[in-house]
Amino acid sequence: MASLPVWRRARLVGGYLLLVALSLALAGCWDQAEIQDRGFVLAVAVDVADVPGSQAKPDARLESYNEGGKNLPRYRLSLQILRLGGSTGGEKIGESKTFVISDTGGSMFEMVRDMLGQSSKTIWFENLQFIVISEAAVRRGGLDRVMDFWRRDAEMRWRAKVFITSGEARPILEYMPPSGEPGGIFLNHVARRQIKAPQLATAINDLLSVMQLLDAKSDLFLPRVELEGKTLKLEGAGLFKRDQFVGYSDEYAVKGARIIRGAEKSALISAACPVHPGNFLVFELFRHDTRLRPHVDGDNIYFTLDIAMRGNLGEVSCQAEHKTQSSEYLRAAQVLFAEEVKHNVLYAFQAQQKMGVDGVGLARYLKAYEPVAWARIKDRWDEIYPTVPLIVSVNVAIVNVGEHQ
Amino acid sequence: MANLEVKSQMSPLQLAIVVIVMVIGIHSDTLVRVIKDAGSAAWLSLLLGGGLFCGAALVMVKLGDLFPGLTVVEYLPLLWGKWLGAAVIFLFTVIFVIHTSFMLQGFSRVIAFFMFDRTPFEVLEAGLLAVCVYCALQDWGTILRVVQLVFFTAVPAALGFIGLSMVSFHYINILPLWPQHIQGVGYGVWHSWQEYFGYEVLLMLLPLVYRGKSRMSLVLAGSFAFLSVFFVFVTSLVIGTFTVEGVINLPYPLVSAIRSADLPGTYLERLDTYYLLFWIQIQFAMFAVILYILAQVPTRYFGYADHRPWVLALTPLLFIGGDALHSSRLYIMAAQSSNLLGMAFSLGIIPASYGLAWWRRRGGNGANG
Amino acid sequence: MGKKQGRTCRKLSAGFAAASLTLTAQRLTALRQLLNDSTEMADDLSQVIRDLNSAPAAGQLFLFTAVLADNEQLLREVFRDCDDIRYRSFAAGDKRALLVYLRGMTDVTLLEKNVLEILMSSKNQQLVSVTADLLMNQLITSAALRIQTSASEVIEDVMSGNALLLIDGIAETLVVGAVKYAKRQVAESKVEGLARGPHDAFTETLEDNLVLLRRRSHDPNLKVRIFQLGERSKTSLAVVYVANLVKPGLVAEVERRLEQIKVGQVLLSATVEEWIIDHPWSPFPQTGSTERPDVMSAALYEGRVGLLLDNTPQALLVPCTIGSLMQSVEDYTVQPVVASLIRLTRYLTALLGIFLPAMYIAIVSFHPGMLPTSLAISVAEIRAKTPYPAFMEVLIMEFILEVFQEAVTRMPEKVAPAATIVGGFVIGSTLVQSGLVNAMLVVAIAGTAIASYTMPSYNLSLTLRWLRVPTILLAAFLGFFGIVLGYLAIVVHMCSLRSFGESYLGGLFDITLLEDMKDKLGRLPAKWMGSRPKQFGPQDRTRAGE
Repeated sequence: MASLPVWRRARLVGGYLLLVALSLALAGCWDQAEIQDRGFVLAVAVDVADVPGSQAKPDARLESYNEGGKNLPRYRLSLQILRLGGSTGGEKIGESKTFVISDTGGSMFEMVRDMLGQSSKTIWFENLQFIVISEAAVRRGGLDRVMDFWRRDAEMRWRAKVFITSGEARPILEYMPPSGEPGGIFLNHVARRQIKAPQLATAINDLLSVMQLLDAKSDLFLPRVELEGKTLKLEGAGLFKRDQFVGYSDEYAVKGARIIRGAEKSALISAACPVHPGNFLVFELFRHDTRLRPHVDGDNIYFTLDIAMRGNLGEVSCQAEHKTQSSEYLRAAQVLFAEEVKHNVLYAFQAQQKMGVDGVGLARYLKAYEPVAWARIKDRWDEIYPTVPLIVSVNVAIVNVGEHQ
Repeated sequence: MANLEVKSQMSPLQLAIVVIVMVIGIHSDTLVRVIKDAGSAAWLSLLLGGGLFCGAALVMVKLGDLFPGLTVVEYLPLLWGKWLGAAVIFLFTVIFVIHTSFMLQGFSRVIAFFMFDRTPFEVLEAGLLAVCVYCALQDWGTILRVVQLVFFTAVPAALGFIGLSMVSFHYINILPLWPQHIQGVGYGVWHSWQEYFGYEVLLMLLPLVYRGKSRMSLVLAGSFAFLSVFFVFVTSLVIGTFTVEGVINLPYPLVSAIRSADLPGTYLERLDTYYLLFWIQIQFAMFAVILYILAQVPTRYFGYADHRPWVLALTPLLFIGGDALHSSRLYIMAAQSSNLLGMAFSLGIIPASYGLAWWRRRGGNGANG
Repeated sequence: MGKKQGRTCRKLSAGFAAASLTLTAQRLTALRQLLNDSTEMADDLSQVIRDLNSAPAAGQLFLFTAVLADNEQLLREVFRDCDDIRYRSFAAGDKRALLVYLRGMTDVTLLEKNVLEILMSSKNQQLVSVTADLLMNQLITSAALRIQTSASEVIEDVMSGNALLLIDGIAETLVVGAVKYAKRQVAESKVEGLARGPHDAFTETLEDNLVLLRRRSHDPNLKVRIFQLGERSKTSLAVVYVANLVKPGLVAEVERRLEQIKVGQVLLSATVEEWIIDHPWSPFPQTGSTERPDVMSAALYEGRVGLLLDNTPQALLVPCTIGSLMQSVEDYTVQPVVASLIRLTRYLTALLGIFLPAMYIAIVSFHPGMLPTSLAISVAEIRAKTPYPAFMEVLIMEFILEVFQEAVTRMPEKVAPAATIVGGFVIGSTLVQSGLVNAMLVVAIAGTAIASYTMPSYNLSLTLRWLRVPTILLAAFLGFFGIVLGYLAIVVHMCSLRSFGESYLGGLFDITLLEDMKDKLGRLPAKWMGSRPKQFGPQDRTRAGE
């Protein structure tokens, strides 16, 4: 080798170095885990442990571990894991595509690792579809404490939804959807219907947004899911002040809140017909232009909300008695719908103000548009918020009445 | 003419491409640093920083013009004398070694965090350094062509993925745009050196540039403008997705932002791994050029004919340096020290050298009558 | 001399010793003697020269004399045991004559007409003497006729199929060019066929190939220089180039490298390729290889140099870059927009051909998080039935694929249909049904194989096959990071390859060669392709005009 010119020698040495470096890799592959050897966790449920009157199961002892004497408040973590078709043959009709395992303890991370004692495959969160937290769990330690592991671990999908439920969370995981999909995917897809259903609070309520709102110390709301008998439904939302649970708001309030935020894509506005009691008209929204702006006038802070809506007439129950295509009818209908929107908006806003929760995010608007005023009052925002007025003006335009008059 | 003999030369546009590829591999830590300083006015810090370092680069070009055919290693001793010149060259090398070790450690952290679970950092560093060594052992013509290939394939792809993550962007998060505290912007400009690090390589590359059709300063200013716009875009994207407070709590905001992009119904999810694949290529090009430049410094200083032995000598140094920065204290200290030294070098020593050289030229001309 | 004004007369030699008459006379005789001696020496020397000339020179086996019997004896000695060399002795005028030829390679009819008939005809019987000059200028009517004195060249000519005419009394020999042997007709290329375009291809005969080239360009600037390669086989190699276009110095460099070839026998153009390239250990083909005269002609007119070896239909083209390897004649016969898409696809399929199995391993074993949930679930369901880890699966399938590809190349045509059934159904379906390999992997591997066949250059598709294995190993140990490292190593290697001075991959994305992009990743219509590629450095960049 000494007889070769310098550059060729260097090239050879470089080649050997490359070989050595590659053989470093050959020393073992640390992260190889086949996809079918991973346990797909589709959903997570967080409950409190040792609640009196709950389903006291005989395997409660196995579902806990020795923490080494730390006396932490105990939670119950349940994981919904996908059952693969696999080499044991096909599945029987009616058998669920998933199974649920649980563990109790103080730390989420430790519970997950303890559950490796119950699972033949490594627990893998990268397909997580949703997290459902029971109201009791949130009241016990606050949302921050429950959410920390999920926003810290690298595997979590940030589009996983977060729900709250008033009862126990684990039965939601055990629910077998009628469509035959695995449960996690089913509920995630239900949440996606928010485009057409503004009463679902799931537009910006995934792990990403929750994390972001918690970081900004804002108030937030989580969509509420309830399971009764064989029916699973998303309805309403739970309101949080920072990370403490305050209360629930119903679907009407959620819809109003979304209209304030301008987060609805297609909404239905229904108004009662003033001429024929007991009848109604429905407006289907297609496009809207919503502007929520703060205004600071000396010491006064108020918000204005200007909404312009365009859409179709969706349903008229007293259609035979009206000329729905005449311009007077349409004008009257537009006014009706505008009133209805205003009513909805104010209902939602006042409900939140009463609870003292800034779910809409007025603080953020104030900070964005009036940073000077915000810097002045941000320490007193909690007192000021319930007194802030919202001035609403709505404009509805009906473009089409549909196929039939 | 594209011919065998002139393959090591480059046009000004190619130098601009090299500078862009060196700088565009965004380092998450520095992004967080700048946003922590300046808040939602981080875009302003980055723009100002871009302008500042563009000025520094243009001074470097002018300095190089006064000594045509010589790299900084050769003309600094001429200006400052033997010992002071050697000290400045040593400083130049030290800045590169420290900051490259810092970036190498950061690189392996990001890859290990997002793509792997238990793979040790050393393996990732060793793998990347092995390929970088292979590239740095070639002549400059080959390295230039590899850099251009990366620029035309990996950079648009990475930009595409960054652009795709606009789906989670909320305009309201980036307001207010105007700074509330000017000193925050100032600190942001100071720390933005870490973002713009890499353009100093043009001190060593200037003799290879033949002044062709385009003007050197114009083209360089264009590249800095492109980089500044890109950084502003990324900063806005990251803040728009997470809000300022959210970004401060994230160690890797850009990759997390790309991760959060999700259009249900399409297959557009989990884009972060794709982005990282192209980011690795950009980082590779950067490390290969740095390794080449670092090897050229002692080659030219000691009068060797070939840079290859120095590449092989410096690689273990970088590997150990990158590995040694495991502890966060050392990691942050490395970034801060290289920041300080780098600012001193680019904004202090280089303009001083230029002033000295210009004064000497003028004084010399005057003396000659 | 004489008395003048009482001064004493003195001889010149008193004062100037060298002017003495006696001395001069002595010197004159010495000079005459010298002249006589040198004349004798000259006579002796010329006698020595004559003697030397009468011996065979170095490298020559023997020397031809004017005696036919001696010459015939010497020739029979050299051609002993070559039973296909024929000797026809006859009378030319009053002298004996001998015709030596290689049966099978010589046109016997031509010999009979041009040599035997003329020399043996009745009107020539009156010739008193036959000289070589007479034969050359007036008697033999063959178009290719040479006088040859050197024995080694004569033997080479006879082995090449020419006939040798020896006449008693003449020391020179005449070589009659009458070469004719069995050769293949000009047919379509089996490897490089295409739908729309000429269908002729090079054959094994050098002269025919040169004719095919010359027909495409009636340009005297298209130069052909013929070299002999191989010390034993003496195979002809033609170096073809266009003199006023080729990069200055390229032809000289090619010839310099050809001169360094030291082998006994050259059979394939691939052997020549291995001698002249810069990086013999690289898996990439570094010269273009083509069987089509239109491809070669187009390349010559871009400033490249072509090498045609006798007895091989594959011609070599230097210098070669990846861009030129990825161009196919079909691109120029299809609409430009369509051709651009096809060409871009070709580059992407090249990447697929290398990385697809590796990406399968990386996604399934290391980064399953990259798949969307529904896809991940179906992949997991499919893979739940197979017992091996992905790495082993891929290696098994890769091995089966290699075996298959080798078998397909060697298979005789009669067996091909049966083998397709065996390969396709048995291996493909049954493997999957038995659960040894999953269906998705079979699709991936088949896709890879087909992707590697889309390369216009067969050697390049083999390179892709070769590169697949290291990338599979890299993916198995470091997932996608390993794949990127492999990709970067391949890119650096390809950029560092130099083919006669041109960067192999570097020209594809080099902005100083931006004008060449009109024919690299896509293709512009012919009206816009007015200049030659800058990368090959032609002397004249414009295509129009002379």
